[in-house]
Amino acid sequence: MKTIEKKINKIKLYLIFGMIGYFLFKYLAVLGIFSLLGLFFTNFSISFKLSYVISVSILSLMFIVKELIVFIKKARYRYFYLNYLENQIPELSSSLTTLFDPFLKNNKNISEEFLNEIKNNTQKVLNNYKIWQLKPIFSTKKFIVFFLTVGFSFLLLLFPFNNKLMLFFSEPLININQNIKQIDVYNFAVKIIPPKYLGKKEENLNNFDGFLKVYNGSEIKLSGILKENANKCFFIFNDKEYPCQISKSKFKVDFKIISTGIYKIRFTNKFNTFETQNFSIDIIPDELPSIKVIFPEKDLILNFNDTLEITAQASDDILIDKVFFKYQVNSDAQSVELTYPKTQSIEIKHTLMLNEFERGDVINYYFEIYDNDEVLGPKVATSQTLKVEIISPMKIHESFLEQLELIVINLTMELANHLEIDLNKTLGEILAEKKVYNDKILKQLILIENLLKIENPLLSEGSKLSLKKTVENLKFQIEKDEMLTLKISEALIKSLEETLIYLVDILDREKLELINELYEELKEQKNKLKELVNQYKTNPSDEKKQAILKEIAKIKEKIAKIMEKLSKLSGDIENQFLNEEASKMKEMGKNIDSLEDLLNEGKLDEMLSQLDKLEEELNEMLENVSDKKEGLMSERDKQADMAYNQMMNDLQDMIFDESQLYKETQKLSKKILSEFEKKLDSNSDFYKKNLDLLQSAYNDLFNMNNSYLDDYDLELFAGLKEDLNMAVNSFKAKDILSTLEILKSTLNKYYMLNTTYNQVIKWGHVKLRAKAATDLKQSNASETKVKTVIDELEKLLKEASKKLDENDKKKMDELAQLQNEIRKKLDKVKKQLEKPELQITQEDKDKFDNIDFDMSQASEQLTGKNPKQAQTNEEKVINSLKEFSEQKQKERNSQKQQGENSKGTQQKNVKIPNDDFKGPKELREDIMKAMKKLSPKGYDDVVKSYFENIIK
Amino acid sequence: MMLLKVTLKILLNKFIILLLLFSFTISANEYQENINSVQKLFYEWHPEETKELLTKIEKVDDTNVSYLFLKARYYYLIGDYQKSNELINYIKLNHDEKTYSQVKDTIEIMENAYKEIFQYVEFKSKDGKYVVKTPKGKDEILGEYALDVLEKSYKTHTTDLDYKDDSIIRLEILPDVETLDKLSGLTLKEIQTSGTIALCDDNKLMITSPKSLIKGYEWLDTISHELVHMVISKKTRNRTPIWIHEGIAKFQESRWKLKPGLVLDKYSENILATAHQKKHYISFEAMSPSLAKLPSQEDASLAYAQVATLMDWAYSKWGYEIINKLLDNLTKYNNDKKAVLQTFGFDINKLLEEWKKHVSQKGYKTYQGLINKPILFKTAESQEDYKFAEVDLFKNRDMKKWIRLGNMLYEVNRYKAAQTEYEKAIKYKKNEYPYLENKLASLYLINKEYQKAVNILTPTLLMFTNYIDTYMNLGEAYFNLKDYNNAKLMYETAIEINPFLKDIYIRLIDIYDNLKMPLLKTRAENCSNKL
Repeated sequence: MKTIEKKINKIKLYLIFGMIGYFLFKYLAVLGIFSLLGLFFTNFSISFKLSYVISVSILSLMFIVKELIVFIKKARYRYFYLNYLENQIPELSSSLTTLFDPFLKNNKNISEEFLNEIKNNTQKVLNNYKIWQLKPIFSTKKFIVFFLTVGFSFLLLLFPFNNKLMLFFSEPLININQNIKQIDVYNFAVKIIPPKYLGKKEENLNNFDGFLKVYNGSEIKLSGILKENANKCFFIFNDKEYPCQISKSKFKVDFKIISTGIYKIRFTNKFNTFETQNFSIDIIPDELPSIKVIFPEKDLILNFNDTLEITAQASDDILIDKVFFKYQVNSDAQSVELTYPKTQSIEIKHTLMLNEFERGDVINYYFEIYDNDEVLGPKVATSQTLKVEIISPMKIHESFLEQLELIVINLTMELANHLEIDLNKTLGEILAEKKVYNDKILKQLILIENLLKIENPLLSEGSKLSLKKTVENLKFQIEKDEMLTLKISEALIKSLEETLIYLVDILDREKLELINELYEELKEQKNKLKELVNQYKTNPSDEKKQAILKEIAKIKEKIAKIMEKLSKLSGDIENQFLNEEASKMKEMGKNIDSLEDLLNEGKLDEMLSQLDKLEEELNEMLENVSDKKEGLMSERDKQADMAYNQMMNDLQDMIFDESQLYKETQKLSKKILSEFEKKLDSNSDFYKKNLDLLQSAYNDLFNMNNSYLDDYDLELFAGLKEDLNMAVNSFKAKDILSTLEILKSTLNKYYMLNTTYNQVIKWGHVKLRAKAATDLKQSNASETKVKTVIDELEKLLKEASKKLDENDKKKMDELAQLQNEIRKKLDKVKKQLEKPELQITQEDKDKFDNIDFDMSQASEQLTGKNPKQAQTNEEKVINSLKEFSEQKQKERNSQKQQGENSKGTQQKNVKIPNDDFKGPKELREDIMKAMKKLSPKGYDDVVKSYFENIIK
Repeated sequence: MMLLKVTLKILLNKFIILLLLFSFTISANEYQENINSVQKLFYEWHPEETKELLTKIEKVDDTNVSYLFLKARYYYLIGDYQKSNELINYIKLNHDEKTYSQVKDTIEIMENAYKEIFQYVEFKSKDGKYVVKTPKGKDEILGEYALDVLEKSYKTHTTDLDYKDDSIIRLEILPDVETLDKLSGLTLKEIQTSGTIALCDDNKLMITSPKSLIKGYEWLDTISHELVHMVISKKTRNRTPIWIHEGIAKFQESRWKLKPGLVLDKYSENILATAHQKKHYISFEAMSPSLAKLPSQEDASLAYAQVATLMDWAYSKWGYEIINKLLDNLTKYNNDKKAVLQTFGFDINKLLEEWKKHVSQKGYKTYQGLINKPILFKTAESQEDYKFAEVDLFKNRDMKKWIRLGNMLYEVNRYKAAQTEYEKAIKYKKNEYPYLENKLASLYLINKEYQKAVNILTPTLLMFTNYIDTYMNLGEAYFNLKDYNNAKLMYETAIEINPFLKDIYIRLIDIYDNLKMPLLKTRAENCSNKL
């Protein structure tokens, strides 16, 4: 028995330790699994993972404790049962022990009987056991239950990963006083009403989790039902309590959100137990509106007549309520409200008409927009500030002059190049070199032309026109020079020299204009300064003193600018033997500096008189320079006037002389015309015959194929037909000279067309050759007829001129001589046109060449005793001369007028009277001769004004 | 008895009073006489002689405003500006303005002199007889040259004009004509229109610094010229009319460097010849009170030419003796007509006739188109303006055009082309001042054609003696040709016109070195350092 007892005790021991080891193993296993699982949540922080593992550990431990308790309970049963066995059936204890102890099974010392007995006893015990319904400690079912429990625990442990639940873990979101009885809230509902201006919809949340994100100014309606009735309810924010509605278990609270934070509701029941519900409300901020100018991206400098379209992009999270365009010109600030639909995003466009401002204005501008925030008030945003400067005429002019100055330097270099050409080089080398220089000159001339295209209100029209003509002339000289194969470009150099001097004079005159403008500004500034000084005298203050100093600085700057401009006026090259100290500029600089000293010493009256002195000195200096430059220019103007007047007088003389010639020729023509009249009688044979011939020649031109002719020849052909038609009509009108002239002009066309026909016959396609041959035949036929008529008419003219007597012929010789003399005069005038002061263009020169040609024709006709033809040419000459004269007169008048308008100069144009008002030619000639003679010394002006008066 | 006593007593008292009154009247007359005498001596340019008289006046009444003024004036005239100024301040403090209103302008000049000259640098000769004062700075270089000329001139003039005294000869070199205006009785306008740059007044010489003129002027000759005035004024006790004054001064001004005899420059010759042809002269009356008050620079030049040639004629005929006799007679008679009659034996009209004959005999020429260098003050013109002044004085339009083109090419360093244009211009050149020749010469110098530069410039020296560019360019040419004597002559002459050009001294240092003139070299070095 003792053995059995021992064994039972041993079993007990095994039982206890076995169970402990088993549960320890289970705990560690679960812990390990959960820990490993926990590691998968990589997105969480280490601290979270640690807390997770700790939680799992605690839960697992709790579970094990629970299991242990269950086990202990069960073990107790077993222990009591075993004791019972020990007490009730000791004899079976060994059997039981055997039964329970598998180690005993293989014991050979045990008899079969004994075993049987054990079996029986065991059967009994088993029966008893059944009675006790003692369930085995270890079972599959239990094991499954165990794992399910663990799994459930695991699921529970996953709850912390739920975001919403997570928050409950942190303080002070839920601050439940654990010591009091909990007041649970059911059915916690929220209604969010955003501010109306937002235009957002209301929102209902039935499962309010304590977190809200709402627009500022939103109304919140919270309601809910409590598990228990509560007596009081307070809404708490920022430690201030606001009562809320509560009726038994229902509560309701309305409030307006004005800032982000933790809001609380505290419920209190009749036991004065209270519970606080916390909830967090974040405000969705009403963002600032934003605006950006898209175009222009940077500051601009534009012309007065330009339009600037400014584009900007504006946006807001809600909507843009107001848009303003703000600008400032000088100190004057302006605001313009722009109307746009109230939306979240707007493309703003605003147009600035720059001609509504002043030239030289600098406009600083930007956009300002407001959103529609009604809670905190509209929020404002401004775009970047940009600047647009309207080019001032002065700036344009300054830039013009600067560029012109550069051009002058470059042209000077080219003049030097031409002057320094090594004449020992071969002609080819020299010509190539000249070409390079000429190209460079041309480039500069193009630059001048481009400069003139820029709108420059300060550049007088006179100067503009002069510049244009100067450029034209120089261009012409270059062209001419390149046609010549001379080593020295004498004419070009001369023209270039004249151009340079002229440009420099223009530059100086224009610079003086600028200086005068600056001087006017200076005067204004000086007056302003005087005013400031006077104000300071009566009521001195630091502020006023600063303003005075500022003004002095400005004056200094202006004087420096004037001085700089003055020094750039062309004149002498810098002389190294001058005394710098004698420079007025330096002294004026000192005087200006002394202004500041006088102000600081409080010698205001002295300062004012110093200021006056300064102005006086500057004025004196400007007058000196200006007089001299104007003197130079007026000298040039005088030269130009003289040259112009001379030319106009010569022209008038020529017109007069040519008219006289015409009248004389006309007399002789009349004699011939009477002869014509007889011959051209409609019934005369001569008339009929020639008219038939002409009409036939015209008709020959019809029914021609001409399909192979190109456009040029077709046009030529059409011209021929037209000419013949005109000739027919002219003949019918008995205008012999015109007919003859037209017919003669057709001969060249016949020749050109016939050449084409011949080429086609020779080289054309086989099919075309035949056609061309037929056409040539017809053309020849027509031409022959035309030639016959020409011969007939010329014969008639000759016959008619035979009617002129010897006196008439002598007269005509004289007239031819007179015409030649007029030609000589024309030649003289042509030479005068070379004078740079006259600014005659190549076009003008061409006109003169044509007149010369007509004169030569007239002279020829007169020599050939064809007064009628001569008359035609003379008429042409007169018309051309008149036309030229009128054109020059107009040009001169407009130039002078513009010059006077822009400068207010005192010079007056000496108008050349027309024929009707002209003095007798002899008198004019005498005047001209007298004018050419030198005046006695000291009487120049008197003589000049005398002649001017006569001319007037 | 008592009554008698009383009566006697009253009578006695009255007598004493009358006696006193009488004696006072006597001393009052004497007092005034003394004051008048002092004033007279001041007028006669002998302030040093007033010392005793002033002491006498002082003893009678040293608070009288007249005395105080005269005393201040005395100090001013002998050059003690500080004492003079102290007395002026005393007058102003103790006397009503009305009491000295008549001499207010004079007082102002005296005050200005003190304020201005007070800060000047003084140069004194070893014997202390000659004193030159210059403004501080660059003008200091004038001191030694001026002192030299002052000494040389004084000795020559006093010998020639037979005069001697112990007074100190003072020269003040003023920075500009504005200062001359402040320190003299002339207005700025008078100074500018007449081209006055120097004065002899108030017992001293005043000249404006050549620095204040764009291209300088013949300042050393001017010192000599003004010194002649001083000698004449002192010798004749200020009894010489202006025409004789200026005549002798002009005739004598070059004596410090040349032998006696007038060298009439071509400009003056032209003006005189033209006037002679036209028979249009400046009358002696018109020359009074000062040639500086003539309406234009041309008139002033003609007046100078007239009187200088008159003196030249007199000198050439009778030597200095006649000039001194004339001056003595002027002292004696205080009347130019009488003096002329006594000196020459004929009247002033005859004198003029004789002089005109002399002018005709001399055969002075006119030079067509002759243009002289204008005197340009900074008050009227600027350096920039000078550019125009130089070129625009030429009348010929074509010449002006080529010069301008030449200048344009010169400015862009295209010298060969510039030379071509200048050479075109020179064809039109007549008698204008040698601007163009100097432009060409400077091109020759650039091209190292030194002899060409000498050749083109030398002839112009005869015609235009005062054109600084010519001396500078010639100096440079001679220096490069290693003709140091001529180079020295040119640069030293340049100093006589514009001593403020540093190049002069840079070259002179080398020249003196080559010519072994260490003292002069040191002076040139000093001047160079001051510039």
